[in-house]
Amino acid sequence: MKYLYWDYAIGIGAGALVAGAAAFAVPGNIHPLVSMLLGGMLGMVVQSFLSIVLLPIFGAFEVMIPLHIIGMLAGMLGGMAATIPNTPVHCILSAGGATGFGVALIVYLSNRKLTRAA
Amino acid sequence: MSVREKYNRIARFYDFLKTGDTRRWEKSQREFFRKLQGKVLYVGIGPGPEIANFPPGLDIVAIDLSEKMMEQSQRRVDAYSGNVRLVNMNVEDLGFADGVFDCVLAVCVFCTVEAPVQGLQEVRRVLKPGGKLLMFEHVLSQNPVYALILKGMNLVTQRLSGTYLDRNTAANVEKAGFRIKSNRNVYLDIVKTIEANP
Repeated sequence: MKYLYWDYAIGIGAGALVAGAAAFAVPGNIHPLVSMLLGGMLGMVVQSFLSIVLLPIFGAFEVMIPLHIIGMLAGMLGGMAATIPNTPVHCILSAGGATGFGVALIVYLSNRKLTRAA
Repeated sequence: MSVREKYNRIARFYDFLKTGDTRRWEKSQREFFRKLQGKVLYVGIGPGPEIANFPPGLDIVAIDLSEKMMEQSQRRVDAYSGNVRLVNMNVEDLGFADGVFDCVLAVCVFCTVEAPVQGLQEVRRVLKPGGKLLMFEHVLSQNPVYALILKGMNLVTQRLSGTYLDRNTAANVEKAGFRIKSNRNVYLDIVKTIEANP
């Protein structure tokens, strides 16, 4: 499979995993702003472990750049979701996956612009 | 721990760590390495994954600071159709006479060299007048988001392998007295090809 497809697959998978982990780990009975910040921090920890696993196989910068952004954003999303009662798990995972896809797309478009401009 | 010791330590699994980069950059490197000609100094051969992307029949002197890395490159050196001579040497103190090479190639090396401008000045010294410096390097992005990520990761990579993710290599090339002919992006504005003349 082309690396381009892998980049999207990694983005979606990482986004869903990070959002799910943040929603699971962040307590639901705290202020939404605090839970968002906690989720963002947790997301950065989760993406660090993911990066270590994925980086050698899929390329250092091509993994490191999108995963850092996904870790922060999907983690914040998951953290906020933790404070909303009865949020279905599939909704959290889908929202995280969509965030990951969006980041992968933005990085792809940014790369296309920068490499064409050169 | 010195850079040499760090690279000796990771030499056995460095190839695995670079698997993704090697595959991703193959096409760009093949195209860029077509510019190689004449007597070539290959700075920082490492385990030599780029040799597979070289045009055939080159006359190369390949140097590296780490003897363990050079051992790892032997298989690829033997398989190459041209002539490759391995020398254990530091780019900051090259043991060659002035103006002996037509081309100098560096692939992800000047992110790690401890005194990059000094190393580049040495490279300039050993290049013939009209010679070419070809670099395939990663640098700090101009994009503030990407730059912040690289600066954060730099704190880790600097300690682990002595690799700096926050260098402005094009500026260092100019500081060393080179004239940049081309500076192209390979991935975002982080991985670049730079061609310069003394």
